[in-house]
Amino acid sequence: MALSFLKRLWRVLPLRLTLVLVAVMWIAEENYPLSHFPMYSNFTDFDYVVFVADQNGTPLPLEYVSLGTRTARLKKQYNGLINKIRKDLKNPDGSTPQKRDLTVEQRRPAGEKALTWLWRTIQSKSTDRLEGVTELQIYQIPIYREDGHIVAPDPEYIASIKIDGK
Amino acid sequence: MENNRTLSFLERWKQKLGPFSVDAPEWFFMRVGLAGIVWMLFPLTLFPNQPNPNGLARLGMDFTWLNDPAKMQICSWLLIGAIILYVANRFLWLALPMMTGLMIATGTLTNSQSAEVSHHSQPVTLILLVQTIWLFVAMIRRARGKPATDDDPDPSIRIIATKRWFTLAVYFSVQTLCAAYMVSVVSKMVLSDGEWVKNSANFPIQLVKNDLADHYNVVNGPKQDKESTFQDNAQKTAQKFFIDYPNIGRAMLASGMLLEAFCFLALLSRWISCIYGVMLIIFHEIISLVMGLTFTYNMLLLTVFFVGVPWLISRPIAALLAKKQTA
Repeated sequence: MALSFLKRLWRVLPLRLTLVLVAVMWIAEENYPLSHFPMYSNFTDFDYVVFVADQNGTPLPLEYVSLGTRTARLKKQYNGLINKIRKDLKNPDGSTPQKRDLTVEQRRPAGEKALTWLWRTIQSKSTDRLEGVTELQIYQIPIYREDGHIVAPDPEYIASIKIDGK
Repeated sequence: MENNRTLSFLERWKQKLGPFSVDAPEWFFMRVGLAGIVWMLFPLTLFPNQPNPNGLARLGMDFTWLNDPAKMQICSWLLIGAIILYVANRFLWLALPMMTGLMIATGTLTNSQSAEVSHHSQPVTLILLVQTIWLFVAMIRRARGKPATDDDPDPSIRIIATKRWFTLAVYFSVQTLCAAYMVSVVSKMVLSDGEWVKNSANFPIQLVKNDLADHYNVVNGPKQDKESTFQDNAQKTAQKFFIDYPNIGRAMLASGMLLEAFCFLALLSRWISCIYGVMLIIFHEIISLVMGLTFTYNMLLLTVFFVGVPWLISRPIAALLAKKQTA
């Protein structure tokens, strides 16, 4: 009885492909070309940006020196690593620590790995625009609300890698 | 009794949300549009490694060979060939899998760089994948001696030249685009524990973040001192507005989410589809302006499959063909 109703229901269901795809994409999450499009699915009260500087701490124009990699792309790389670190670092109550609660030391491995990834990507294209640069440094600027205002304090130094011998 | 009422209600909606009849000229311009979008998307920035395998790379497939310029050159020529065949409506059994395969290969490599991925090419690749599957379903049905579609009176006509096949190919493409929007609404609701609208008061934080990210893309570089364009100024003004009036931003985001959730209503009629497409494009434009994000490919897909530009520009040709047939 129930089965025959379900069969009839399936037959008359509008937009079956849409419904199936929504279910498949939701289950598959991020598996290209499937995606559950989770970007901006939760507006948190804390976020941050990262940028890259040279050995003197002078910010580099990332898109120019890397021939196309933008800071948002580098942040995706860094943020993915930060999330892995968070999962490994459990709070005493078993919960996962918040991004804002991680110390610079805890974030350092993510910074180093993100810079290594960036450097490999630049090497695969051209290092010409990094003439005179011997070190890549990564900085983070936290952004949050304080007393109703949005605050973006001074950048925090996270990590660096040497890039001698291009 | 109650069950029957539910079934007849759904049946009525199934009829209301059925496919629009597509003719050959409109299908031609839709193929031109989709082929153009694929070509614009294809020369993606490629990478030498797959540090965070995604999709097929998770199953062990290695796409790093695409980083070799010589191999990428061959792929580009293969794509050009496939696009020409697709636009010409010839050998789609070869052209569609080729286009889909190349898009999946490059997209998988690009998205295998970090745990967080980019989302600009998935809807395009999914539409190609759905068209490919639909073609092979029809081919298998014919090979088994069955009609390719529910309206396939003459098996001597090529499947891709039958009106019902391409009408449904377009219908399934529209549904795929709807699914991409609708699953994002599911994500918003589930991942925020239903508090997405409430939490969107934090939207201005994203604006500040994007502004800073843009700054550090060009700081101390040749583009740093470029003169502010009209768009730059409009972006600054819009950002300031939404930071000063966060509730207006919240209302805008909530209405955008409703647009996404009910985008299947575009299938009610061509006019509704056109209006719906324009509204979604305006929504994307506002988000682009305020947040400095780009939705180029979504907007182009909407232009092709929702707004009905291919239908509009194909009308003179359709009229000519009709005249020729009656003469």
